[in-house]
Amino acid sequence: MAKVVERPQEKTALRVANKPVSRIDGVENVTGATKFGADFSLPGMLWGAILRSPHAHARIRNIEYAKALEAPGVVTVATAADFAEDVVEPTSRPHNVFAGDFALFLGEPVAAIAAVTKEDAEAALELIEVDYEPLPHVLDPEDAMKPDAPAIRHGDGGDIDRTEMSFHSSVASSAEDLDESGNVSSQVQFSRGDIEEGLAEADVVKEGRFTAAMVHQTYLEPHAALAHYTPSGDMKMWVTSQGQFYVRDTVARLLKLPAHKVIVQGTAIGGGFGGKMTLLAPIPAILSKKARRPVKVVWSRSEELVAANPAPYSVIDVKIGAKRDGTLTALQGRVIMDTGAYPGSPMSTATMLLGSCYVFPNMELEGFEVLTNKVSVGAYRAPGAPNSAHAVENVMNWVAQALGMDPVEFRLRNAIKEGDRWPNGQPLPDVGGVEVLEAIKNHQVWNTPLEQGSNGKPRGRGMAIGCWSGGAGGSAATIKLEADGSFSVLVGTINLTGSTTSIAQVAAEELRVPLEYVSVHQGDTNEAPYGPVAGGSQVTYTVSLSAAAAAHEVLRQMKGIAAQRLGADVDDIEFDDGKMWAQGDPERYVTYRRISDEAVGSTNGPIIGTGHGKPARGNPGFAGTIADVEVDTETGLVTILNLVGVQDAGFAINPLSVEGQIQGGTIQGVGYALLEEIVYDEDGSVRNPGLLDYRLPTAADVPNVDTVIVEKHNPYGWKGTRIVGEPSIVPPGAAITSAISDALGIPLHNMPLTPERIVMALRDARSNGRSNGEPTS
Amino acid sequence: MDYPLQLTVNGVAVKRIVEPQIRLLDFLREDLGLTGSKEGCGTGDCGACTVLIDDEPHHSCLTLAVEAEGAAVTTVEGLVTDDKLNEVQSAFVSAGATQCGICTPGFVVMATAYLRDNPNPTDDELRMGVAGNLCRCTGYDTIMTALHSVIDGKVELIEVAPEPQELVPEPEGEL
Ligand code: FES
Ligand code: FES
Repeated sequence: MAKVVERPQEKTALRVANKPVSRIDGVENVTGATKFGADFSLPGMLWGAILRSPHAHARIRNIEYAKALEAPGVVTVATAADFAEDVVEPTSRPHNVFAGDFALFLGEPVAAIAAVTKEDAEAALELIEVDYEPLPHVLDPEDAMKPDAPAIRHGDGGDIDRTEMSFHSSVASSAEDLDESGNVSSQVQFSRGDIEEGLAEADVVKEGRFTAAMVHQTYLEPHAALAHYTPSGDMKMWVTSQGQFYVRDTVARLLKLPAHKVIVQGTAIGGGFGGKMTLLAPIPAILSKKARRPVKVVWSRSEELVAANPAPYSVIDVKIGAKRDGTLTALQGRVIMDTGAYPGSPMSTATMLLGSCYVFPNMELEGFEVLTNKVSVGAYRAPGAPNSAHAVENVMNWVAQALGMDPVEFRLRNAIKEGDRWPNGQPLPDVGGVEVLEAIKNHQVWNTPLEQGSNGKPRGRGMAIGCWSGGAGGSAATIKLEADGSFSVLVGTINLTGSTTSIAQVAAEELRVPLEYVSVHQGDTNEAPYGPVAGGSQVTYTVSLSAAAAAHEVLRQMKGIAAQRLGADVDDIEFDDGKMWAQGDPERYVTYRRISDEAVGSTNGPIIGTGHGKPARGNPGFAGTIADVEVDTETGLVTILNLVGVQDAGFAINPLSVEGQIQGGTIQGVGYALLEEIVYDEDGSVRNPGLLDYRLPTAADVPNVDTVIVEKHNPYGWKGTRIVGEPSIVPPGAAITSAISDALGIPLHNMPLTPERIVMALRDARSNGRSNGEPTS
Repeated sequence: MDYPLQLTVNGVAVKRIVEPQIRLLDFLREDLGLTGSKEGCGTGDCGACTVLIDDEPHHSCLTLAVEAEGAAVTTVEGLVTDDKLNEVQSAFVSAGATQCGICTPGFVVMATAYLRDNPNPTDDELRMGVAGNLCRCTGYDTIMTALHSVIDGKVELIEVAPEPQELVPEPEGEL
């Protein structure tokens, strides 16, 4: 693991931060002791099951469930009628729990049943009689944009709720919803300079139209939630979600309960990647409120693949111009993003990100979010960014090729730097784009020419970079000094990526004790201080600041007591290894244990400190990929020979965990590039609602990822930390598709490049005699 | 129709009346409270529910409880001996091969069985051997590192709940 480090020297040697630490919950995970969403149960608990629309688009004339209520084991049934009208927002999927007057996609929840056993609940679904009037549906966003297309939605009105997308990106998509007419739910534009002039100035112009499939986050743990409405009117919940406070607020609002009466314990989460928020939780909550008993609901994998909130299908046009010397002159781009039946896609981010890595003096970008009668989309790790990078980075490689330039040199010449502006006009802080490109340039794989194999299968190389803005929410953390001199940290954020381990490292570092002396507890929404959703890669970024602040507060209190005991001035107190002493006299010390004893008996009481943190601003993370592939032209099968993942982490609090994030994100990028796609039938049903046909990368499909952590100091993060989770998924799709293009000598435009698509593209190219750099159909 | 079921689970004899259609996975999780085995798909495609039945790996989501009549079932909860994680479990912890952890129980059960039968696989064979177990978080990198360390005999067994160590001794005399 190579490293490029650019950061100020530390005054004292780091104790545990910046050192690889295996997850403190690791032993629990490997013994099966970790409790995930579906692992919680209560005495007297009922099971819920969900009735879903069999139509892609239908008016619901009536729902009759008297017969279901009489079925064995059934206790209650819930429908849209159980939610007050003023809390339902028809344009917001999380606030529209059940279909009301209209079902807008096949699989949309229509009703739910709570029964004594899961089998009872599922069996009784058939007894709910729904009177549907099927309506015309549209599945393709370009069809939906046509003037004569049937309306996807029906006079909804109301503001569009974009809360969920805002978790992931702190960058205001300054663009407004320009046009909400027809099936276009949102439209944005960004422009700079004069696009016509920019294109006219260019010596080389390349363009293409790119599609990226709808893919599912495919966290291996399906949605699960347990709710218990107690006799005192508390709604106690155990939910697998990336944001327990977000679940709490949503349930409180929908059920009209005070926030403090909805007590949500986020369970261990079996992956989320942006897709696990609050889709399910209101259903067991309303069932439990009606049944007055605990209710658990666990989705099946097919419910996940049909009716969760996958990443959007998009069609992106990109045209790039450059001068002979490699200076970029123009970028023109157009994004059509299929948002499914509800608005809330990452369309504006995707549009803006087209112009996020390089300086384009002239640009014209527009984006359209389009409604269709498919499942509504959500966030998936750097939402929209892989789609953008796929388009821009492939065209960048074509331009470099046409100019006869090395693609890394071409990028370095134009790479965006501190002070340059993103398409929304925001000037950038010191980002690590250049450093990531340098790390690629210096990588041994990049400097070793790719040899063609002896088996006759063509090989190719591709590279790409990408970036992600990330979130920068506010958080708080509380630290207590315990009786023996150890510490406990309380946070309200979900341990999605191993952040608990990183937070323990931060606290141990600041408090100067071994890691074993710090435990981190994720309290429920009543116990714990507020923490933002684990999205936008922000948890470690923000909680490292609040945990450090809490540690400083605890140390301040401890120093007061130590100073008294030592008869020294507070400002002269030094500390390390669980003891405090007066400057210059380390032999006379008091232990943290003694300080704790003393504090409990003092008028100031036990030592406890709360710290607040919020990074002053988001600071984008850059990542890059090098991919070498071999393609079987008979079968279309792609073998990845080398995969290099480079990422700027600012300051890697836990390099083991950062590496794991880079590897995981890169392999998810392989899924985007080669394998994953939710396929719809004409009737609006998902053709591959299982993990046999929705193909995730397996261990046999992928090589190891050669990771490089770049550390370019971020002034807004703890010791220079920056966002980590998301950027690694951005460039692999572009790099791998580009490598396949390189191997075959034909331009390729669609993700995933399944064997079938590759064979068809080769056939097309043969019959059209097209050469590289020109678009194929 | 109820069925009297007798089997051994993690070394303990179990006797229960079950319905014949109940899956082994549900029997373990719901009836016995052994929630270590996970359901990622319910269709045999992810491996998260893998358990050993008479030492052979099976998808407990595709196995009826009654099929395990008379058998010895080992779940992830049964892999710890003498308060020590087994080699695969220890290697997973050390290599950072468990991220979210939902795939981990099935993965360690599968890998334990695979490496017992194939102590010296090549990297390609090993990858094929565990290709039935999906992991969405790690990209398999650290899992391969962990399994190779088992193959190379380089694993130090990790103790479960070790005795904590004292931080600093109290200084002599009153301060
Ligand atoms: S749950 Fe059994 S294989 Fe996925
Ligand atoms: S660690 Fe999350 S699925 Fe494997």
